[in-house]
Amino acid sequence: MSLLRPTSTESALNKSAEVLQSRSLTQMAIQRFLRNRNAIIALWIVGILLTMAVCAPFFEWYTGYGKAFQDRNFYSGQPPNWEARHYFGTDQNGRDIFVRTIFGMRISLMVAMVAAIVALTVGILYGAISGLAGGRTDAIMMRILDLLISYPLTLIAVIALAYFGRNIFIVFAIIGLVEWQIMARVIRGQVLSLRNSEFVEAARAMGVPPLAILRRHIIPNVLGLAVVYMTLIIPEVILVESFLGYLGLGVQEPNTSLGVLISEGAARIEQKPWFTYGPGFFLVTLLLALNFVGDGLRDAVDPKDR
Amino acid sequence: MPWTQRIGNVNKPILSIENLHITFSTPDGDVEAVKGLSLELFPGEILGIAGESGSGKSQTWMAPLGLLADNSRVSGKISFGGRDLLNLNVRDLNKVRGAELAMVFQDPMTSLNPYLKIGLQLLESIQIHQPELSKSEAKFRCLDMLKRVALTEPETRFNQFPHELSGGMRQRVMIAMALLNQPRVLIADEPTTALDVTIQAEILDLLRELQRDFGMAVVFITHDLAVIAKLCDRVAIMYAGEVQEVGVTSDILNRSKHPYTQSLLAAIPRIDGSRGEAA
Amino acid sequence: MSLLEVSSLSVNFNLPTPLFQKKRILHAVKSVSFAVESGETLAIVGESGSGKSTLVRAILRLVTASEGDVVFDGENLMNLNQGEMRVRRKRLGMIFQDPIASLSPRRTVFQIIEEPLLVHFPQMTADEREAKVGQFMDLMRLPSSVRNRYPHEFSGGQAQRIGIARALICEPDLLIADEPVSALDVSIQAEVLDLLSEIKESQNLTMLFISHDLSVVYQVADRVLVLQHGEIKETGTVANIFGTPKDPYTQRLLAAIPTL
Repeated sequence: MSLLRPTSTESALNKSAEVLQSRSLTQMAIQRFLRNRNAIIALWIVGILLTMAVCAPFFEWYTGYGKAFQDRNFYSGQPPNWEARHYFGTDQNGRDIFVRTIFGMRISLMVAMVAAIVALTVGILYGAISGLAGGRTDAIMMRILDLLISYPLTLIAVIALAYFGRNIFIVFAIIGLVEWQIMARVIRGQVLSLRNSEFVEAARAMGVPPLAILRRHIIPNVLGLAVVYMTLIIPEVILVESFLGYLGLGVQEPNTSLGVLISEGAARIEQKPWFTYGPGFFLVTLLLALNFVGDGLRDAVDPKDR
Repeated sequence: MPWTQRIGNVNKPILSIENLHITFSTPDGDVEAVKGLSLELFPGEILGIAGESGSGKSQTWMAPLGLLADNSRVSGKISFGGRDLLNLNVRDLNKVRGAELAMVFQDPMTSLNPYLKIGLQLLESIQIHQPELSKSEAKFRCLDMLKRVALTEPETRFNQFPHELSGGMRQRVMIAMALLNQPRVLIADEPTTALDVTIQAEILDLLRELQRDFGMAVVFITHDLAVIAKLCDRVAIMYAGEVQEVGVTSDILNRSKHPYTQSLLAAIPRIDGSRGEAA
Repeated sequence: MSLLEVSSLSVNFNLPTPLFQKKRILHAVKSVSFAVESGETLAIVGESGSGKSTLVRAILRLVTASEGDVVFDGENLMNLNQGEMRVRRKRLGMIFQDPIASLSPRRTVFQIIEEPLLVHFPQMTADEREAKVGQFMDLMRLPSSVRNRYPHEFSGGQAQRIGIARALICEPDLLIADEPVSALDVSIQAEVLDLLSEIKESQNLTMLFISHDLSVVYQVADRVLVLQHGEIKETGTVANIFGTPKDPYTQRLLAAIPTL
């Protein structure tokens, strides 16, 4: 911002006020993001995939094949056939893989979003409290976190699913409750450094009460980072869900997810490779695009880290 | 070798900058930090570069070492020992910088690697440029140099980490490191700004003494005219990317007619009984 | 009566040590006593690590003092609870060393200067606050066109004027300035110092001025207190300290100042 730092004097101040339009940090971050071509392309891809997932019933109608529907004219386990509108072929039960992939992606994205929101809320609260309280409270809260992190996710998932039964909401909750731990750490670190920053000290010296300090000076400065980590958590959750699906612990029929589809296909990849092609392509595209968006956001929010 | 010999012909500049332009491209457009600057550095002199932040004084002297940020464009000519430093490739430049042309920075903590012992970092910089030296000889020279910069207990310091030294000691280490290869030109960018006054006075004395002993030319960049008055033979006053005035220190500080120099001088708080005059 | 009386104030810090090791304690301020008279400027001078910043932060209770009393206008601040202390902060303004870092990065100039009013004068209407902020921006020669700008858009000198406006808006009795010009260029230093002394006259302020720069201190202070390793080495009027320094440390400090 060297342009905006003229040499002292009021005239220079006035001039800079006229020439350049004022921009907040958030506006600057958005501008930086918009200049990042990769991130913008990725954002478009995510948008298109999201629209497809939301409009999944449209594809059911368009192709004429339901997610549980069996095509009796076209036998099961057939390769892609454009004329029959089986774009990705059919599975062993004769169901259309394209339609199932779209529905699978819908579930994957839903899991991811719910988990990300759970992670965001719990993580911010836990992290902010820990960071603000400091001292002994902070130490104890962080050791609890260490304990939780050292517990393997799969084990928790298997136990919980065995206990509560295979329920999609349980999957949401477990993944979210695991992912919040990383969020909490990141937020706590940021809050800790903000707490010792000079402007927070200035607010304390002015007599601003603690809650107002949190609201006016701390939360606005963590939100950007939290959003960034949320976009990076989403692809991770999708991956975790796919992994659970692969272990046979994912969502239940007739619902499906990208992970479940891939695991089903993987069993027969030598005879019927197209079982995995479609879902695999969608999963990879989605993950890549989300990661690009997340990286773009991170660079935009904190350009010093590049 | 006596320093008078090492210095060579005093009337021929050892380093000369001609029509230097430095432009930074930023998202908000191009910013010209240095605008057609020309300046000569003579052997054996201490040249002070004075200016406020944003005057381009540091950028000008990062250019000969190839240390400018990636978004910069440089044009002009910097001749040093028959070469144009701006046209050298990285390999040739590496032979020059750190050996014939050395630099000391403002913050000694960030220019030292916090994970390596002082001694290792010194040895590294000597071995890069003088690989023919044996290890014991290199170590001997490092310790000798630490003594020259008046660092107490050089053997102990040799095996310590940067954070175990105070700011003044770290700056002495940095100066020692810069001098290890006996450079002909030392560029010091605000080397005392981060230090306390008493330490600053010691470092300035040390620099003056070493400059004589090694017969090198020193470029001393600072915003503090009082420091320049104490140390420098000549001074160049910079403002907005241009040299406003250059000349013998006492002339500039006592008889300058240049309005910017005068405003700089007027701004310095004085302790001479005439309180409030500066205000 | 003195406006501020500090008596045998000590601040100790527990240095971070690994678990199960003997605690190490840093004595940052060692039983310091002094008084600030109404209307004067007292400068606290010391090099880095002398404890000068810790001392003023202890007075303002931004760090916890381990011992001692701070009597402000007849009332011992050390005996107050957090809520009571917050109310007193209306009368204690503070200016910080790093002008940009001490301004909240996502708030506009107007929001920053207005904040103390929101805290201490909750009954004020938006119009009244508007008027008051405008008045202090004028006083600090900040054009009204900058009111919606953000701290990162200013140079150090401009940002420091915003910081001073914020410190003054509740019309405090005591202004504590912690190295207010150390981060600024000399010419801007002079500008800010002039502004400070002007305002000190017109608002009848008492000032506690912390600096490592003796030449700046010479310009603004009435009395000087020299601090080294958390202890007072010498106190006296500016004429005394600069004319006939008694303590060897003061003498060394004075001798080290580069002069033209």
